[in-house]
Amino acid sequence: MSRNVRGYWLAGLLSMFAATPLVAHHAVSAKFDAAKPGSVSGQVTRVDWASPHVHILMNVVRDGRTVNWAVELESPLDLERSGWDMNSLKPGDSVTVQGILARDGSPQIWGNSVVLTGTNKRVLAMSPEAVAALKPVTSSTPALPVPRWPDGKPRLGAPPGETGYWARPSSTVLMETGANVEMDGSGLLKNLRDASKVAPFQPWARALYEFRQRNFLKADPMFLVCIPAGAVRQFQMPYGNQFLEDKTFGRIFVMAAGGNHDWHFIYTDGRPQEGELGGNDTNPLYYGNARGRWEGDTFIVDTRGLNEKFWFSNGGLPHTEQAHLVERFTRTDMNTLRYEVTIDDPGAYTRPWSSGWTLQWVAGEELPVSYCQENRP
Amino acid sequence: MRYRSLVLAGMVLTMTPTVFTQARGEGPGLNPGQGQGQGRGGGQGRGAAPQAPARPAPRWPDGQINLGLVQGEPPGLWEVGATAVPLARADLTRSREENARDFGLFGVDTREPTDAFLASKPTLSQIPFQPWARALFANRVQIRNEPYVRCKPSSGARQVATAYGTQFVDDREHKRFYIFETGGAHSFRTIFMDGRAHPPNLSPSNRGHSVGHWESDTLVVDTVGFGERVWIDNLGVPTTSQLHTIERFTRTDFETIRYEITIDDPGAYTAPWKSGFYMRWESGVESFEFVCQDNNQAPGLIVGDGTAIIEKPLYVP
Repeated sequence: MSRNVRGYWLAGLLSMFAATPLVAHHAVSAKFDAAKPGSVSGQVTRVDWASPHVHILMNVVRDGRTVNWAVELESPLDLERSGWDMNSLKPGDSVTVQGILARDGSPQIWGNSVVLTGTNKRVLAMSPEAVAALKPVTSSTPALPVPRWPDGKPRLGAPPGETGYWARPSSTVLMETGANVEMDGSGLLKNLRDASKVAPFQPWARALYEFRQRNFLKADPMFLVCIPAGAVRQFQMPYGNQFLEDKTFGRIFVMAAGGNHDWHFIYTDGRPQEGELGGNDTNPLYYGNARGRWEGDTFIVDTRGLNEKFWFSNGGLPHTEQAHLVERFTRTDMNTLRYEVTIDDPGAYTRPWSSGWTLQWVAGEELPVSYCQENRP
Repeated sequence: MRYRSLVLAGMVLTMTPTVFTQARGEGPGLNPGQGQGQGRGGGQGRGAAPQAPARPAPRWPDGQINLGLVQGEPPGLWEVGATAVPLARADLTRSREENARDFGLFGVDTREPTDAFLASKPTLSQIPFQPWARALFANRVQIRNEPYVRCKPSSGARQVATAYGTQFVDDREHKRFYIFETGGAHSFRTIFMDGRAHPPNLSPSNRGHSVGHWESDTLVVDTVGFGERVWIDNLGVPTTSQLHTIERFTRTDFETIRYEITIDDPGAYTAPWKSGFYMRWESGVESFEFVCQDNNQAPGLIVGDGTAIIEKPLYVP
C-alpha cells in the first residue's frame, strides 16, 4: 500500500460517520462509495470553481508514478456562503484530502475534508451557517400576513420594493402523502423493499424506480446532462425559485435558481393546454403546458404535456406522457408557501396520488444563480 | 414535424454556416414553423425599409420608455439575426478571400452597412486587440466552438441575441429589469435598477453582475464580474475577468432597439471599444420552452467519454 493513498481503518471508521456529504445537490453515492473511505495527499494543479460542484485537481505520487486526482467538493455557491472563494486554494498548495473514493476505481474522491499540509488548516469546508441556509428555519416570532395585490389576491412574489424567493423545502424527497418510508435527502431508499410504499406504481414503473435506486441514481439526467429539474422536482431544488407575476399579460414567470437557471411560464389568461410552439403543436415539455387559476387564496396549476425524460424527484420516480398534474400553491403567511400536487398518470401509476410540502420565503435575498452546465466541457 | 424542424433551424442558427457565404440573408426569420417566415430578423444591412412609417416607441404612463410588451398589443419578442450579432464586421475594402481568412468558419455578412450606426461597427483592424487576444480570436473563428452551442449561458451581447428571441420585463415595482432568452440556455439575466453598486469580491460568472439606470430614453446597463470562459458574441472576441461592459438599449421606434456595447477590458484590449446591432420586434410570437441540452449535437457535447469531443472533460461528472 502506498504512503499517500491509504484506506486506513481508523480514518475509515471515523469517516463512516461523516461519509455522507453535508448538502450535495445530487446523489454523491452515484459516483462515490461511502464504504470506501480514503485519503490522498499531494500538490494542487488546478481549482475548477464551477457549478454544480467545485473540483480540485491534484498530483498524487504513488509508487513513484504521478497520478492526477479529481477531488469533488460542494458547490461554488455553498462554499462562497461559507466564506471561501476560487483563490482559497491555489495551484502549488499541498493538501491532504479525506473522503470517499469513486465506485469505478478512477482517481476521484469526494472530499469530506481538505487540509493544508504544514499549517494543518482546514479549507473549503461548509460553514454551519451555509448548511443551515438550505434547511427550513423555525422562528418564534409570528410571520407577517400574506402580502396581497390591489385586487386582493395573494402575491406569490415579494411585496413592492422588497425582495426574496422561495426555497428551503420541508422535504427534498417525493413520496405519497402518508407513506412511511426511510430515505436520505437525495431520495435513496434505506431499504429497497420499501419501494412499493413510495407511490402506487405499476409494475414496470416500480421496476424502473428500483433499477434507478440500485444504481444509486447514477442516471439522473438532471445531473449528467443538466436538463431542467422539470415539473414537481423544481419545487424541491435546494436554491429555490422565484415567481414573477405578470398580471397585465396573464402569465407568471417561474424562475429557477439552480439546475440550469431556467424559467418557464404558467399562463393565467385562460388559453387552452396546447403546445408552446404556436398552433397545435404538442411536443411534450419538461415543465408542460401549465395553466393557472385562483380558487380563493389558492393558486391552482393544471399541467399536461410533459415529456418522459425527466424524473419527478431526485429518487428517480418515473412518469409517462399521460401525466396530468394539479398543483395547489397556498401562501399561508408572508413566509410560508404550501405546495400540494396530485399526480394522475395512468401510464405509470395504478391510481392518482398526492404529495406535498412547504417552502419558506427567503426574505431580503436575491435568487441565487447556479448553472449545472458550467463545469461540463 | 414542426418541433424537429425548429430544433434543426436552431442548430443551424447556433452553429452558423460552415462555409463562408457572401451576403448571407437572414433566412426565414428566427421562428420558422410559426408562419412568420418574413420576419424582420434583424439582419445587419437588411435592405427593405418598412412600408408604413415606424410607430413611436411605447412609453409607460409616466413617460419612461417601455422595452417590453404593450397592453392592447399582440405579444412579441426581440430578435437579432445570427450575422448581425458579431461585434466585428467585415472590412469591405478587403477581398472576399481575406475576409474568409479573417472570419474563418463564420459566415460573416459582407453587405454594405445601411446606416451610420451599422457602419460604426468596427472592422477587425479597428478593434484594439492585444496581440494574444488577436491570436486567440483567429483560433476561435477557425474552430467555432462557441460555449453557446454547448448550452452554456451566453454573455454580454450574445445574451440579448439568442435564437427564437428574447423578452424584456421591466419589473418596476421591484426595481428589477429581466432579460429572458428563449433559445440557448433558456435562462435569464437580472439587472438591478435600485441604484445599488456592484458588490466587492464578485466571483467570476457567466453573466456577471448587472446594474442599470435610465439616461433619458436609454437603458444603460453596467456589468462586471465575468468569468474568462465566456464569449460575449458569436465570433468569440476574447475577454478576461477584467471585462467591464456598458450596454445601451434605445428603443428608437416601436419595432427597433439600438443596442450598443462598450467593451472595456484592459486584460485583452489596449483601449475600450464599442460595437452594437439593431434588435427587431417580432410581433405575434411568444417564448416557449427550449432545452438546448435535450438533444445537443454540437461538436463539444456538454458531457461525454472524451472520445468524440473537442474538449476532454477534466473528470467524469
